[in-house]
Amino acid sequence: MVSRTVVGQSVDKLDGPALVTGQAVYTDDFSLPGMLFGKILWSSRAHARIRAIDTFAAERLPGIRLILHHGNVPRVAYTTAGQGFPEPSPYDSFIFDRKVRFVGDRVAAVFADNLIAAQEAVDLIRVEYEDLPAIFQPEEATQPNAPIIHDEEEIRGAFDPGHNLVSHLDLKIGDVEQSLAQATYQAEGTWITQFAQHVPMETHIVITYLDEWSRLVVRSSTQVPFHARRIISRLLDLPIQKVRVIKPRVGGGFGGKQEILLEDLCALATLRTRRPARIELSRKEEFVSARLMHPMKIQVRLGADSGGQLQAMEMRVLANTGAYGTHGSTVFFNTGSKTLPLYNKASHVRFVGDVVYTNLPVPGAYRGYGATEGYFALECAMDQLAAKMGMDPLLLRRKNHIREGETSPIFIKLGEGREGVDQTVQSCGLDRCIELGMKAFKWDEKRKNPRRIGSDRARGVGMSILMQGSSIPRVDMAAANLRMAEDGSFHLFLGATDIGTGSDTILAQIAAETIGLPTQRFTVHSSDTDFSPFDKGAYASSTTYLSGQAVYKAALAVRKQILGVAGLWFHVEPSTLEICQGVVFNRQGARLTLEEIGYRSYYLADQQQIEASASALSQASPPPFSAHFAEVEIDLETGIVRPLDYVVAVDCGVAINPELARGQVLGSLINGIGFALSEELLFSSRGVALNPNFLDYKILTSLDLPRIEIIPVETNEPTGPYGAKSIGEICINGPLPTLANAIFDATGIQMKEAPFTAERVWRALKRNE
Amino acid sequence: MQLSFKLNGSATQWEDVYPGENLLEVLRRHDCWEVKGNNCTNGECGACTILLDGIPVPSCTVFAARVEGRNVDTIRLLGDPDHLHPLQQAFLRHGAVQCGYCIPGMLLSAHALLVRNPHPNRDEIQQSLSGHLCRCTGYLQQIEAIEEMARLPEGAE
Amino acid sequence: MQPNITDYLQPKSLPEAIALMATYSGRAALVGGGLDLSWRPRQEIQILIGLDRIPLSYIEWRPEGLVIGAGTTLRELADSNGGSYLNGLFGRILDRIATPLLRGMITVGGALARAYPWSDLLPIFLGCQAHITLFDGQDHTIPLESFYQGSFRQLLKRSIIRELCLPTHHQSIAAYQRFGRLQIDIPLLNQFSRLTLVEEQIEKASLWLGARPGFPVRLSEVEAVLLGKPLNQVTIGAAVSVLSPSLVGADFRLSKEYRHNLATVFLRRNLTEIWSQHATII
Repeated sequence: MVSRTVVGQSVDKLDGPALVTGQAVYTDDFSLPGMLFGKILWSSRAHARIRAIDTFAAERLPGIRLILHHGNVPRVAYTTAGQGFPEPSPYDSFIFDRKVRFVGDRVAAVFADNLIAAQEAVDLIRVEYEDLPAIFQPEEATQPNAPIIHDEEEIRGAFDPGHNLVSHLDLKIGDVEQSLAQATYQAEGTWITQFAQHVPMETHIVITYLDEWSRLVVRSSTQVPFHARRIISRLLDLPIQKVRVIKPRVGGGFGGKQEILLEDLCALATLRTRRPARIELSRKEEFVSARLMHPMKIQVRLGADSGGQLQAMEMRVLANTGAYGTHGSTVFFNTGSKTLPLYNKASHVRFVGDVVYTNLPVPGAYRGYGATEGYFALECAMDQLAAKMGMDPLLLRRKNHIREGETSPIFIKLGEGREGVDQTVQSCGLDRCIELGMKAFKWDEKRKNPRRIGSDRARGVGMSILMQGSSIPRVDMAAANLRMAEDGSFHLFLGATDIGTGSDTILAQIAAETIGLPTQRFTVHSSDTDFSPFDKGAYASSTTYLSGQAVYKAALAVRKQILGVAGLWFHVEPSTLEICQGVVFNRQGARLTLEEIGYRSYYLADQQQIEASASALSQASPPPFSAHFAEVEIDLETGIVRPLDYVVAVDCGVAINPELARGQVLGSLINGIGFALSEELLFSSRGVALNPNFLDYKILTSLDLPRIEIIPVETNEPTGPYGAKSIGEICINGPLPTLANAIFDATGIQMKEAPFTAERVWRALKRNE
Repeated sequence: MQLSFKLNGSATQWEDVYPGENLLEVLRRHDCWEVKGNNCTNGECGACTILLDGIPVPSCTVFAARVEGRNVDTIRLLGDPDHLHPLQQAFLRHGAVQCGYCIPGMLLSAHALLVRNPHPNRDEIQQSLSGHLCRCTGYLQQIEAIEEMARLPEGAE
Repeated sequence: MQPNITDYLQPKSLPEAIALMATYSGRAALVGGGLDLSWRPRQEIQILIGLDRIPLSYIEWRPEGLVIGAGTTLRELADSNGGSYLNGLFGRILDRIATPLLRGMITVGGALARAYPWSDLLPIFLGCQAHITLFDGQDHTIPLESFYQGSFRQLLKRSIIRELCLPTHHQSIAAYQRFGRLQIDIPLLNQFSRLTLVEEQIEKASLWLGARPGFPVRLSEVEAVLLGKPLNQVTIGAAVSVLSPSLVGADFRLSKEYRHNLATVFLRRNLTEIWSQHATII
């Protein structure tokens, strides 16, 4: 094999020049004549039946073209989750329902000639509600006589809607109770996570219009164009043939755009008025009526023998999926499946839990996908165990973590809302992550430092280790199409959905490496369901790993075709030829450019298109691994926690583009630090969001950064394209346990409820006095 | 009402500006799609930043009428895709651009800083970016890109 | 877009602006930076009176102190030598307000007129015994404290803030503490302390607690404890002990109990900081 020239290089993002110059690349950078502007009326009630909707006054305003509500739209049960078919999420949603289930639920939509008229009309719609008792605490959801949030007869796919249960699982391996009873050391606690929002800088936005064939075109800021097409088609009873979804550049997703939230409304407006239609969520609407992260209560019990070998692990989860069950069961399954295999030495494992409906806004997919919550509990419990043993927490992890060539029974027992796939870990750099991370962080040195600084401050260090997955094995498929033009440039058509991650560039690098020419010769098209081959979309840490395999296969096939043409030209066996920097060489050193090959193939002799399509389905979900280290300083009088140093060592296999991989680590890390320090959507006693804005929902800025060091630890994943695994999600899971463990080290207090706001830490310190 | 001002150095006159409109709305209505961020409307995210007489401000909080007779610069001030400004190149080289939505605003704040102070230290750089929210990156790659510019000899930007 | 706004007027002088306010009384709003109105549009407002063409943006050191025109933005103020007020403390405080982008929009006049319950500036201005000059056809200069003691929102319906004067206080040392959830945040509690020490005795004290949440309050009981005493551990302890928990309240951001704790910690730290600065001066 030729040494790598493109893979492993930090080539600039192909869309970079357009992005840094502000070109019109996003959904909204576009305007159509006659476009209607939509605004949605949201429920002001947490749980109510709609007795009547009066649109009389609203309809009479000038410029109002259409008002949609439950009385005039198709009633089809579906899930807003953009997942593979059949979706593992319950069909518990309707375009509009006769019932509202949270403050911020859809009630009606107005489309008007301009935004101001649309908003005025929304304000004029009168809704008569019949209030129902509401559930705001997940514990109350399964109580006898609890109100039933989903009493509609059409609901399908929820575990037990009569008891507000979206999902329930009790997975047992061995005998946890007995093993815990016999363990020399035990750790136990309950950890609680919050409602957090994705906060993409571009909120959800959709523009729809009819093309010259009267087909519906949906321009959407989405992570899942193909799932969006399928769901719209089913909802509106429109053949897939009649729907085209275009994904322009997307201003961030993080899982929040793995949802079909506005497409159906705009599509209905366009189909009924035959005019273009647009809806954009305001920031407040994005916070309340888009999607959130699942708040969970997770009880973990661990048991270890006298040497620190884990014997038993138990994780009990209560997940709050809000008013709708989108991604409810799969996120919950991931809480176990992405965490418990990390400690595969324990032979007794139990994973049990419920996912319940409440009358609160709706969690969905969020980068980390349940593992974030799981690692908070598991990795904090590990530090509790280490403290009880008087063992260095790093050493405890070294004794217990999974290694290359090993497997875990969890892999086969737990998948995406169903059984998983058996696999053996074929690449694992976790040993080196811990080793290099602790050295860079000066772990041993810092642990010897005094905890107390002056009269009112304390410092401490903490760490955690993590794994995630790469793609959903045997479920999700990705395909790519690669086409050469006569000048020897290439068009790469992808269903893989670049939402800012740089996947267009990374996938072009894989193709460029495979064929043997620079990345700049590629134009990448992602995604347009009319032209792109199918791909599940941007989620489940799958784009580089899975879509990359499809691209690799397509590029291999194209390379073969190129060499075939060159073989005819040189009258030699194609296998004797090489491609280097876009030039084909024979063994005598004669050269043939791709341009010459292109012109010959398209105009001169043996005319044929040089092109290939390929698809990939993974048989495994190889985990990336990471070790996180942090030092914090705590103001003991105010409870303010300040992260000082943060070191991440991460094994993502071979990083196709190291600088972009580093960007994934940094972005997820900072988001994770936000979970740990400040991010939390709060609600009144009536379920009204109190802080759906940047004034009071605090995400980190450039002034909140600790000193950060990112250490790439290369391994070679044999099933991945050029040895690559995923990197997009794993590191968001680290800050919650790492910072909590550092606070524990500094103060002896385990913070079990996120975020660790100054007031919460201060209260914990006071309780401890 | 009528609005006359300089947009990226060119005398500009628009006839159809409403007195209740903010600058972001007016610019985007006139196809200045390079100004992003039509959603926070509170000046808190920084995506819609422009330079008003050289000072970076969020255009969603500026009444359009206020720019009468003044200089408004958008990201077009720096470069176009075929002729990137060195600062834009540095952002790309350092992997500072992911979804890109916040980037035109950040670049303008960074540019305004470097014009005033060609050799800012890290604190000053972090300060200058602190009005820009970004969810994809961790700000560090932007800081490193600006630091690289700050190390260049005077006038090289 | 605020559809109810039908006109944007740009007077060139304060008398012209006052006349316009009278003409459109009740349905006109002044635009300094305009931030407040874009945050909180008000249905009754139809006419905007922009102040950009009136020369209100200036920073001058006069014998009586630092004079700041009402149209000056916080960014202009921080970039000027005005930041050196209070031995540079003022500049450091300005650098923590809102964001650099919003500091280019927020005017001193706007901050005074809005008097947000989370103001960084008001406790400092009040603690420095600032004077405000209002124009209602003629100039009236009054202490800022008495301005706010009156019904200042009524007053501002017929007058315009021209400038603020921050008097120079020789021999006085000041300190400021604020709490924010992250570096960029509104203050959820702040405390400003300024002491004048003469021959080791506290001769003057001006202490304010702000963002309680609500309008800043003067800590008169604490001042009473401090006056005439030497600044030391004992005095500081006595001062902190009289701080009443009733001065602070709760909102969804912080509890009353925690705010009181912050007030106590901030007061003690500010007094200790002043004590140590005083020690280095001597």
